Amino acid sequence: MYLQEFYNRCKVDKSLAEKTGFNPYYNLIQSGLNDPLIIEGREFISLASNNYLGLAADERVRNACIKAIEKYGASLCGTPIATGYTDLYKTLEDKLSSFLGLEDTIILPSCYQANNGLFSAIAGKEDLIVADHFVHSSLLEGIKAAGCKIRPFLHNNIEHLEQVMQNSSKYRQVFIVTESVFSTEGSIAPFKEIVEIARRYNAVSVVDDSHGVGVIGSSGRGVLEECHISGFDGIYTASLGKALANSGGIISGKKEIIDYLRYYCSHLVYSTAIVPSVLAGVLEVLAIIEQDFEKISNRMWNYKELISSALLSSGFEVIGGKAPITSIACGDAESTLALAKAFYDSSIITTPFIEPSVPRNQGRVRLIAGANLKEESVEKAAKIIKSLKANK
Amino acid sequence: MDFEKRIIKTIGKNLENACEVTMESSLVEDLGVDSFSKIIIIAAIEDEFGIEIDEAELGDINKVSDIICKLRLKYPEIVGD
Repeated sequence: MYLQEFYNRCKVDKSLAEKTGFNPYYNLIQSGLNDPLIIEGREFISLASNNYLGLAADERVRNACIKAIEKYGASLCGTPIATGYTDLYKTLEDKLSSFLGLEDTIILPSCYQANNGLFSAIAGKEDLIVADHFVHSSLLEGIKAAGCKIRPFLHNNIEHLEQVMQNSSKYRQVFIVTESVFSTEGSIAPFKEIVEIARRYNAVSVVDDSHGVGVIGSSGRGVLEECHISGFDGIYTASLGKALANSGGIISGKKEIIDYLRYYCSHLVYSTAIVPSVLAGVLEVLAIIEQDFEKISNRMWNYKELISSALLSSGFEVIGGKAPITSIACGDAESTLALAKAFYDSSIITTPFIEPSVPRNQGRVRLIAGANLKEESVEKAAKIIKSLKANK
Repeated sequence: MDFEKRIIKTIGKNLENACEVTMESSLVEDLGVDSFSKIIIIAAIEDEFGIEIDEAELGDINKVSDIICKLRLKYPEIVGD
């Protein structure tokens, strides 16, 4: 009897999907990130993935992954601290550090784990973590796990952050946590000002650059390059599964702290090391970025402009961010899924966000046009957008 | 300024979107408060009155008036400030 009650409690509420006739989650994809994308036998234009530079299915990246498998096999079947730390792993750590302009780097199976594991390794109950109101779930859950005092500040609001910091002197250590690019609508944090405040209060700044690395900065090196920050003395995390087109996550920063995390971050120490094909894939993506960033990113920005213009001219309420993310403000959850369904029915995949990913009644449909898309596909998507609005 | 007005002003200054705050405002429906912004509001009240609030004490609040009632009961010393 009790067991049945447990299973009853764990049932998924599908009422919204039933009401809108659309479930946007766990689409069964039958291709790589090609153009078109194949879902359940149908061709789609993907405006949903985080494949900003379009390198996930690039032939050079595929070949690098295959070569790594030929040399190392599928996996090292061990944690990095035990048997998983290959020369390829070390090469990528060093390459990422030099690419970002930071002293050292560790690589974890995901950025969720990087953000989740970071704070319990470096903060305790005597400390204070000051975080942007809209930080990602991975940061929020990681911060909560540390068991310290938490004080959020209003989103990207430097004045409010300063007020919070003025009441922070009684703590052993204060951390200021934010993201570079906020993924639901593409707003960019005033990170240079945040670093200045952190330095003034001897706080440690922590930034998640998952949607910035490979995207912003004059040569794609992310938020530190974008904000002209040199000698960064905080902690940097990022995903390897967005513009860097593979999987995994990193924590980078000063050598002392990264070395400490190598031994005390349980999410690294007790997780099977990221597999060789992924390590080689990221190395190849970094080489492509160093060689071709301007050309590839120009295509990405042009596509963003095409999609944004189509939305604006069709009367959609577009949230204007400075990142290559275009979001449509949709209101409540039902309206958000209804719009995502309209795109889906027109063979365009988008990403809908409803609470708790965004505040209540502030639903978003996000569009990202990766540089891998053909120009005619983006033009076709723009035409579909115009027809969607006309049919409303 | 009386106690209620100070609370209302403090809440108003600590919301993402400017909106009118009254005693009867619902935190979630009217003010768009989520669990993280509730922490922002509690911390701002702590700073305003120089107290430390146990967040669990404000667990089941729905309206601005609920915050005021709870604070009156738990921290009577701040009401007359």
